[in-house]
Amino acid sequence: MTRYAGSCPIGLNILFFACCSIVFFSTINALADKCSQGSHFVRAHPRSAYERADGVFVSATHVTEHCRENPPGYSFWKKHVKNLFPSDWPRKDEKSRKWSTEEIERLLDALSSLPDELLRSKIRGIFRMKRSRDFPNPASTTPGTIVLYDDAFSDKRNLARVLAHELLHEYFRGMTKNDAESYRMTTNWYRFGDADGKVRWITRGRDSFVENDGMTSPDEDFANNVEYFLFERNKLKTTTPNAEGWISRRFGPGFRLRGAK
Amino acid sequence: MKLVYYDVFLVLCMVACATTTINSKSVQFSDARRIIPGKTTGSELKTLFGSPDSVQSLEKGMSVWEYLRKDVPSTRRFYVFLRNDSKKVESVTWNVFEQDPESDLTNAKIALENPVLTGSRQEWTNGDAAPHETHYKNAEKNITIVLHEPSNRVTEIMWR
Repeated sequence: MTRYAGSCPIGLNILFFACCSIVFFSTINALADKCSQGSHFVRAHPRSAYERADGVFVSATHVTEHCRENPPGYSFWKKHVKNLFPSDWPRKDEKSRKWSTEEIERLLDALSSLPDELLRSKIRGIFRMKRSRDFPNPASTTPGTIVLYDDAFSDKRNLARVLAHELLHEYFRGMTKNDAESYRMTTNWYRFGDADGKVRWITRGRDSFVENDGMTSPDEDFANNVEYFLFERNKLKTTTPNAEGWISRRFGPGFRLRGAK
Repeated sequence: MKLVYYDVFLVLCMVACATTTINSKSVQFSDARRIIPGKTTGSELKTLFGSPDSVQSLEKGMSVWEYLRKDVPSTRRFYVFLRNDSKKVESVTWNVFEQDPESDLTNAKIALENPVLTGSRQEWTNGDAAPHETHYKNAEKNITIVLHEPSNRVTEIMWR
């Protein structure tokens, strides 16, 4: 006669799981308590290969639980990591996803590499969603909200670069009219009221854009150009020298990735 | 003879000063509204506002004349699109700044003599960033007001 675990009295089963849970969580809490001030507890998790902010590839591994020194900005950004679907998100057909330990660690790491100028934005939350309606788009933003899709964590993406780009959209939205106009003038953007009543942008030639989608608006052009300033400055210098000059003047000589020379 | 030189010098000074006065005077929105697309010509623009600070050639037989703000470097007060063939104005874009009364939507409507406007949210141009503008239009009068949503301020007024 086979005796199944399920044939035990229900009360005993509940007691068994409760005991196991208490032992499990108290062990974790004990470890977490051991982490000194200025560091945080990281649960054991599998980690996929990825590209670090500085372009170095990190191989896949199984990370054991440990205490980790808080990266710069940790206490600020940790509370902005949100699991729910953002209430004002316009794309209701997209689906939210719970952050994994690995993703949170990578996110906080990536944010810590960005220059302070980008972090002084009015971001209310960084949300995690499954697949973009515009796949393979890795991320998207509305005022105050950043959404990272599955593709942002692909090994083909540099997460710090993706985040920098989205934070730059927020930065551009918060710029004064004078500053935004100064950028548009330097980079040849003109607003034009069309004969059919549409408002469109007229701009410089295709060859002077680091990415084609920069031609859609000054906002996108700005996010692309500052992203390239931080991650591929030589390409920006060659393709759009006037933008490179403007960014250099606005942000000053110290504007670079943390740790970069 | 010295007197003649002196007179010539004075006349040259007056011409220079007159040009400077036109260029540097603070152009108001009501001044710019004197530009009538389809009628105003390039030479009339020069009479009204002086020579443009910059002229750029565009595609489709158009050029754009830029008039800069004198108080803020690298910032345009307004710019005018002209047809190269007819030399007439096609469209005008007036930049509204924080300190301008027209940066408030109600004031902007009053400055345009309260036209009936229809508002429409800007469409997504790519999946990467949400639009953050509303465009208010009057098709009959060919007027468009651009409202920047995060600041709730008017940023441009266009007419054609």
